[in-house]
Amino acid sequence: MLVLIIACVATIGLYKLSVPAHVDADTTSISYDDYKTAFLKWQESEIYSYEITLQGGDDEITLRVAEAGTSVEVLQHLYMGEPIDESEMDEYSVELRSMTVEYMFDLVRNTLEVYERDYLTRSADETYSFLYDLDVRFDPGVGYPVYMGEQQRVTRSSGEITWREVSWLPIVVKNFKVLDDR
Amino acid sequence: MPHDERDEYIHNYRGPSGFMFWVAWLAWAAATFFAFIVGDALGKSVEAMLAPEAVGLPRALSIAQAVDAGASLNLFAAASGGLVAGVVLAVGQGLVLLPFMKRAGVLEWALATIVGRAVGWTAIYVISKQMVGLVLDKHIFGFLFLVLLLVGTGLIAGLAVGYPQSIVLYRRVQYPGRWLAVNLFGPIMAGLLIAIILFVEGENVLRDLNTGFAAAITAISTATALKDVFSMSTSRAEWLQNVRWRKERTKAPQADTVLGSTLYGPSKPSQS
Repeated sequence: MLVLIIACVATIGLYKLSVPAHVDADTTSISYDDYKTAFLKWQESEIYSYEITLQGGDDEITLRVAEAGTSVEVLQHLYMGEPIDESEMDEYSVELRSMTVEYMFDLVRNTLEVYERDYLTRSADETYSFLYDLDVRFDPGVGYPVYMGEQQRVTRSSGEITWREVSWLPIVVKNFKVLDDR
Repeated sequence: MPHDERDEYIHNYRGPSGFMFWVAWLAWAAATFFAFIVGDALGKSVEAMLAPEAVGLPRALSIAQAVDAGASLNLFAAASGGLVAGVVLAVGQGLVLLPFMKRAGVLEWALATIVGRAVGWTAIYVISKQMVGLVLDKHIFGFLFLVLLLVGTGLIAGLAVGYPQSIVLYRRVQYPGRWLAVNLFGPIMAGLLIAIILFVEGENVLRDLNTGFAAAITAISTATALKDVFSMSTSRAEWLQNVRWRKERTKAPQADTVLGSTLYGPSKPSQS
């Protein structure tokens, strides 16, 4: 009996090591200083044009970016391994086509600023609370984001349990190639 | 007496059936149900007396009694609450068993019930405390993990009471493991129901009925299992001496037969 109780408690404890317990605040895997450091590295590397391959959900997209992110050319866009039908692209696939390094930095900064305001989003009838967990990783050398994802935690006033859902599909940089640096 | 004849005898005269069995069924179910409910309330009162700081705190996720979501772990208060809940259940079930088991048997039963309920209560308390702040992914794997945790908690709570009680039945009943199994239904079903409610509603909207739901299923399943207990008794079961389910029927004496066997029918009167 004691073994069963310990096994149950240990299972929950181990699970909490991989999925941290609920807190009544938004969380991020990086601080604002981490963001600034990474952004500074990116600026200092003075990369003028680059090719980037991103994976987001079932989309895989390769972009050629130049002129500080203002010129974007889609080299390849696969959906579930097949070339995408451009007439049937959804909003997510369209947004992914603009996911330059510069745009990703903007997204991360905006999100961090929202989190810093530290307000709790509640449903209209105040029975649900919505909190967010941002997970961002930067390339240690050049500083560009190599992973971005956000999850939403939903809990009710009792706080008995918190359900977590993906709010941003994770975006993974699969390949990054510098074409021209100054 | 050959085995099949003995079984037939027990079935006809000592096995449960008819009105008397249903009276016992109803008495057991009612005693178990109300003893669970009253025991839950008294156990919580004792816990509140011993750990007043936990009163008023938000509730943790629990498949039975209310557990506070506070950070402190007060095992003494929880175990005391469980002991009180166990005493109430033991008294309720013991009163129903008294006509069937001798006083020593009822005392054994009471001890097993008190220990089992206290262990089950404390286990639910500890596991519920550990589940505070649990974050689960809202898809099938998250739901299955929640089911695993809550059904696992129910399994432990059911085993805690069912196992010691089945030990008491061990020398009295041929298949005491069945008693253990029926004690699992209530808490496991409660765990499953709560997991579904949590997935759909985001919180257990029926949390005040947790104990009542588990108690109702346990009361019905164990009351129904009483039939097995009474009909599959070993010769050491007290109720074989203490209880007659119906009057023994006295068979009319058979007339003499020609060769001492009824197959040949009664002998014809001799013609003189």
